[in-house]
Amino acid sequence: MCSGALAATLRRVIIICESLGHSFGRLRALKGVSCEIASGCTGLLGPNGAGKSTLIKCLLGQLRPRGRISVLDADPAVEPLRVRQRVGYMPEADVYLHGSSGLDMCAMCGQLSGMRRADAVSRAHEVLNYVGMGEARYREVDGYSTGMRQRIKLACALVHGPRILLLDEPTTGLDPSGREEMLQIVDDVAHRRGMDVLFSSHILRDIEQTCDRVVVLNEGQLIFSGSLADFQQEESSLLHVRVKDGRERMARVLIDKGCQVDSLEGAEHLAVKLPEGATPELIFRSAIDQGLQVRQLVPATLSLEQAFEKAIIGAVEGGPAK
Amino acid sequence: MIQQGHDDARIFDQGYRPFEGQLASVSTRFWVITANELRHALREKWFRRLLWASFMPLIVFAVLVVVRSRFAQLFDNADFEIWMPFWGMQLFFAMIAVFFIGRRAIGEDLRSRALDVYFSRPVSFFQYLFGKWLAVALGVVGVTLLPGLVLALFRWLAEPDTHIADFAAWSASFLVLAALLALSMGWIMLAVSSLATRGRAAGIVWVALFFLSAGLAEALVHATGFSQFDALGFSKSNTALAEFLFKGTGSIDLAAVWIGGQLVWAAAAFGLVLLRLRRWARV
Repeated sequence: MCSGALAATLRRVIIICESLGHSFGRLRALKGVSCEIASGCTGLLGPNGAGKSTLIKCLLGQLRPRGRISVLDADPAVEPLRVRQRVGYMPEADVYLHGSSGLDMCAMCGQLSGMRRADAVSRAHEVLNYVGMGEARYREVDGYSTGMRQRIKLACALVHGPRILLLDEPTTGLDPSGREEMLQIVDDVAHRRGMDVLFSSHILRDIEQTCDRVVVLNEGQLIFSGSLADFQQEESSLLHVRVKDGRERMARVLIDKGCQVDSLEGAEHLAVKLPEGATPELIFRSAIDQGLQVRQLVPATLSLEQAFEKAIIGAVEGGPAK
Repeated sequence: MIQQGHDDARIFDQGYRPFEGQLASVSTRFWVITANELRHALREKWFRRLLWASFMPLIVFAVLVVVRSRFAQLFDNADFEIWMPFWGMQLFFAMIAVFFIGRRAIGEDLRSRALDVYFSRPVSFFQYLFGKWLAVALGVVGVTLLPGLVLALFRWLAEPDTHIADFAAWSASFLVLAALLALSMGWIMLAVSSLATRGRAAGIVWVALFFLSAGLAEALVHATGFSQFDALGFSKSNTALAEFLFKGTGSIDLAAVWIGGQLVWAAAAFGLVLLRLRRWARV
């Protein structure tokens, strides 16, 4: 069994949502969202107003949605304190404790999670080192820059050693280097420190860089839930074919056999859409007949932007995709 | 974490590692909030000075008690009443202590969206409110009940004609007065703080409310002759109740009205806080 398949087998479900719905007055923020989120780093993707933050607040027990929800086998609506004990949350909004230094705020968060004062202060120093807060930790949070506040929020989310980290737009307002550092930290806790991460963002590249799985929401509906690779997978009949010396000849032969062939400008491969009922065998046979060598035959993948755009358009035209 | 690859070359890993220590029970989380509020207040030098100053009347009256017991013949016919002036001063200190501790309690949390910090932790809404109120209440108790008990104890020890029954009665009176004061002042300050998101504004409104409610009650009592109107001022009804407890002026019915007045103030203020924070009330 390859390591990827093994990892997939070992993944356990940490969050379950069943027919989740929530409204703010007449605005329906979540419309029957059902999904399972496995351990690892999962991206929560969607345009502004898609319901990402609402879903996270439901997971924390701050909102009481319709439907069923389970976080680490506990229902946040019934046992919110138990859930919050095991979850670290980095909110999107600019939140801080007025008049506190970064160290105080972080230690206070540790204490609120049940740590003794001495443990909380010591632990706060550790996580502040980890997120790259230097001497600024002794200054009042009120005077921090946006980047520093993002770091302090992340440190506060990590201080009590949560099992799941919920990040709501963690790169908002960061400059390119700050964003890169934030993504590195997220990648580190998710892939090397064994923490499960739910990373909410509307920035596709952030998700692509850090997550292995993705949950896509649009206008409160679930569009997709699964691996990032599956999300980017083009429909199965579209294949990328690369042949040795004879790209044009191969294209002509495949067109004669009823395939739709797009010889992409500047690309080495052909984008081939097989006719109804045909299998990739057709490509190999055609190559043998023409004395050509197939160097690569892979299912076509989309960039995350293309996949996202396609999913959103698909959802608008025909309801939730999958 | 120390990784020992070589005796002389230890590598200190500053990476993230899970917390493996013990966590306290969820039921005591309010105390973290209380301690944090008090820690913030104690950072202000004027608050620290206030705490010292609040014990000055105790010293002054203690000296008076000693002088009176030593030179009793000079005071034979004089009415030696120290509790009302003493309580009046402590009430004033309580007002300032509440100003220092409570003016930023909820308003600044709303302004800096700190409620998201609290309620993403294992802290319930009522633990949060109780924690905030307890900080203010401890401030009130610290400048009223504590000096009061010390002075009562001192009188019992220093005055030959004072018995333990007197000490018990005074202590019980201070306990009732301080508890009512902590309830009414605490919730009123929190209500004011939740409505004004700036600490300074909340402080000004608090001081104005303290004097205006007392002034209004005083004016109505003078105009109508009904002592029941004292209940309109939370500090005024406390003073009236103190007179009943220490001097025996008024009746038990009036005392009930004054107690009721303070409880109504506290309940109304508590309701206002709940209304202002209703979005978080189910957290």
